[in-house]
Amino acid sequence: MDAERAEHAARLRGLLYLACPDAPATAITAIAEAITEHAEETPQDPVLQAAQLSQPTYAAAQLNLSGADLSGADLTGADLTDADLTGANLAAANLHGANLAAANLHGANLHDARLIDASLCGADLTGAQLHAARLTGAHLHAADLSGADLSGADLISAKLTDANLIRADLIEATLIEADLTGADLTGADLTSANLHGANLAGARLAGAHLHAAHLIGANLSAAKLTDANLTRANLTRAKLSGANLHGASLIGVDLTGADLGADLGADLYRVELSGANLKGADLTDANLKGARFAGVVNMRLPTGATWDSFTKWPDDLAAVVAERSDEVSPGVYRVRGGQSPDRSTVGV
Amino acid sequence: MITLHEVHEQGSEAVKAAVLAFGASHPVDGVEPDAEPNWKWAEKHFTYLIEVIMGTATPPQTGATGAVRRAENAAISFLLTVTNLPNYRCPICVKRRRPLL
Repeated sequence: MDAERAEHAARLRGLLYLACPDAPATAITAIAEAITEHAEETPQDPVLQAAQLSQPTYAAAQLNLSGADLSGADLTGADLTDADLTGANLAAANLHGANLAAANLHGANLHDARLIDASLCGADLTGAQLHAARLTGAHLHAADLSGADLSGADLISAKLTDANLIRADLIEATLIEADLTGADLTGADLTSANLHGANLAGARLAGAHLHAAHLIGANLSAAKLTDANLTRANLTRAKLSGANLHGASLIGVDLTGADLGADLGADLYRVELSGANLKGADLTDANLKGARFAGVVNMRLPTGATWDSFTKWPDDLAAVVAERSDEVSPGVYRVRGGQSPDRSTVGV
Repeated sequence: MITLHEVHEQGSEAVKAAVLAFGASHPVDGVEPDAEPNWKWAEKHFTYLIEVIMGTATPPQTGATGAVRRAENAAISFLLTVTNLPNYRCPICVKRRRPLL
């Protein structure tokens, strides 16, 4: 009975909010509680707390919509700043332009919700269901989306700077031109996600799954990609200077025209690149110690790059590299050129 | 499940007024506030209201009668609560997915 009463109160809070969104938050909570408390009797008059609805709204009180059923509701432009929406059902709701800054949406159901241009800065979306949600242009700066289901979500041009996306499910999500600067995507699943032109500078992607992801023209400068799975990803024209790719798998990736070293050499220590297309890729000054390039195509001499005896060069480049390198420390070699004016572009 | 008509028949003066106000918020043409109430529409939305409170359109197997009655009473209380507020909106109308008649 207590569980039923709590559920009824949650749904009544949602209904009262939809009926009178400008009502004081404390009144909505108090009325919902009072109604459920007297639900055994057939009512003949309003509950006493109903009088609070017409009282002026004072700021500060947190709107409690936890567990409320707001599915399919038109909440365009609603002010839900700091609201408690834990476990709320907002499936297919229209929250276009709504303000949900600092709202608590832990475990909320936002499946197929429209959140275009909504503000979710600092919101708690841990474990939220956002499958196929439309978040075009949404502001998610510093939002906590760890463990959230964002598979198939539309995040075109969304601002996700410094967002927490640890272990988030972003399979087949669309993140074209999204700003993920400084975001934490450790262990996130971005399989087949579209990150065309996205800004991931300084993002943490350790152990992330980026299999078959579209990263054309993406900025991954100084990103941490250690142990990430980038097999068959499309990194055409991507910027990877200063990126840390320790132990990452880049089997079959397309790095055509990618920048792995123009400003600061990428760290490709022990990276697996077999079968990758490196046409026009710039590996100047990159750390290639232990990297495996067996079967790569269109690789040119990586001037200024450092390598060691564990580096596996393509057969047709091995002799040229050995000939044009100097031993800079025991067992470590550097290809002549690099930041010096002598930038060799010997193709093989 | 109890109907809006039955609520009106059995209720106090306050309940009757709340039912009439709920009907008035569902005008025939969907726009004109002074138009005749569309009672078919209002009845449907009152049923939805009970279902939303109950959390399901299908009452639970155990204790079904009591659970439905409490949801019905809560829905009537809801109408009594919002009836005196100017320009209150039917929450079911706000829920886009509910079909308009």
